[in-house]
Amino acid sequence: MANSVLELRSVLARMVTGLGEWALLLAETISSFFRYGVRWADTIRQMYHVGVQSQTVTLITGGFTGMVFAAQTFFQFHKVRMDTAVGAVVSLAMCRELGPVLTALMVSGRVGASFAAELGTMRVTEQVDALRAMAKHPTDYLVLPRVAAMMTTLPLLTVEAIAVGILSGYLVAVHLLGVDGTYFLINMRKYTGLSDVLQGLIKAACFALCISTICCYKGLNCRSGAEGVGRATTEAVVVSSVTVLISNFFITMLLSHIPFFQP
Amino acid sequence: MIQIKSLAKSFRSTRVLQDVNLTIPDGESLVIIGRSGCGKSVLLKHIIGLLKPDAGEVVIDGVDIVPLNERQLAPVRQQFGMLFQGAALFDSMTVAENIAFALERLRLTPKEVARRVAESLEIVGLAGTQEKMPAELSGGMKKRVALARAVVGNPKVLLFDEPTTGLDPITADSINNLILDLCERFAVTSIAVTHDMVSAYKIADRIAMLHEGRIHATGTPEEIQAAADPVVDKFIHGRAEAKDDGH
Repeated sequence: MANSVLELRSVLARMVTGLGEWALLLAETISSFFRYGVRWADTIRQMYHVGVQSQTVTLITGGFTGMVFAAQTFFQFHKVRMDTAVGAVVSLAMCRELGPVLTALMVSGRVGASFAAELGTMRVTEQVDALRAMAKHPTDYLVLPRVAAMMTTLPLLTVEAIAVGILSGYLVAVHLLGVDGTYFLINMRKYTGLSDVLQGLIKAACFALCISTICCYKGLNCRSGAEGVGRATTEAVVVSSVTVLISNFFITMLLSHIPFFQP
Repeated sequence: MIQIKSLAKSFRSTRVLQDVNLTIPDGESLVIIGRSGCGKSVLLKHIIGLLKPDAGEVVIDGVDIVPLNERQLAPVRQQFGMLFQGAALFDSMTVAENIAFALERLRLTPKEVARRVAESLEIVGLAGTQEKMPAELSGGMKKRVALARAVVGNPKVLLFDEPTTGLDPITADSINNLILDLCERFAVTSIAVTHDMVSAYKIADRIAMLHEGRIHATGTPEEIQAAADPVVDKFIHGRAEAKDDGH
């Protein structure tokens, strides 16, 4: 019993310490952005890695989510003869929830993991120490370009996923399930506004900040050896994915108090 | 001058350094010897502020660097060049980019950077390897490139972490010669940690032995070779006792 209490205390202490260290890294990153600016060459290289190389994942995620969501909505709404509302439901869900959340989860798995693994490997092979020994701050050179790249590209990927999701939902609903295309589009435009798209973009930007800083933190603080890098990578993906899901709820609730975002 | 005063460092329950005191005058070539895992690299990393001690001071030219944060340490670190045990070259950059990276703060023209990179590569005997990636180099070549990167910014102090570890005797000797040559050419203070006694005798003005977290003995290479102290004698002649065999 005493051992369990001690273990629980140690786990809690580790969690609080980790949270504090992550917050310090976040503050250091923001301060680095305003005081020293972004290293454009590194940032553009990271934007290519995050944005261009995530195209397949984004298209598949957005496309198939829109398709299955349109089909499931149709199956339920068809029972009450509300087939034409499918467009509105698909577009609202894609803009407000499915687009930003699923894109963020896919990107955290693909890019977040590579951030943690790359920085973790740099740490265990003393490349991070070499950088520091050359009077370069790891936040300026390693973290900020990744955070800046993620914060610019994840919202763009989210817009892409939303657009592809709605388009594929339209194709399934209209051409496969026989929903009237005109009503699909009219209802979609009637019930989906700028605030819905903006909500998705705000969420994407928040998720980008969480994913990139968590994954960089895990990489820069990984333990030595291949096992350390592996563990840091796994933890980075798990923690950032869970953070996306939890923060999504709080962002939704927070935005619901702002009149512009109220449905 | 570098002064280390009452330095102590523990990792969890393992006390690695306890009450280390050492003074390194300008221009001296000091070699710190000691058994594997005795804290030599830890001591070296404290000198450049890569690790924070639990207690004690590291005074560089009259300034205690222990309380300084990462950004405040930058001007101090600009006076240093460091060769890491595994070379620590940035594997996403070419040889030239690795070396040029150390020159970034000087804001030189691309032509001047290219000239200085070529010059430093020539010094270490690797002229023409600018476009190679670190993965294409052998262990000895990586160490040479890392040496070129360490000296290209004309540092006042050079730190070498196990410069000859993992190299064959001939390559190790060429690295030793290179270190001697660089120290003479640039008149720098150099601190090397090693357990390679051939290397220590060759490059040291003075040798300090780290044992059980403290500086156990210091002296010129001749004094260390002639030392009657059993710990020093055992180490420099590589004699293991039964309890050292892990039985």
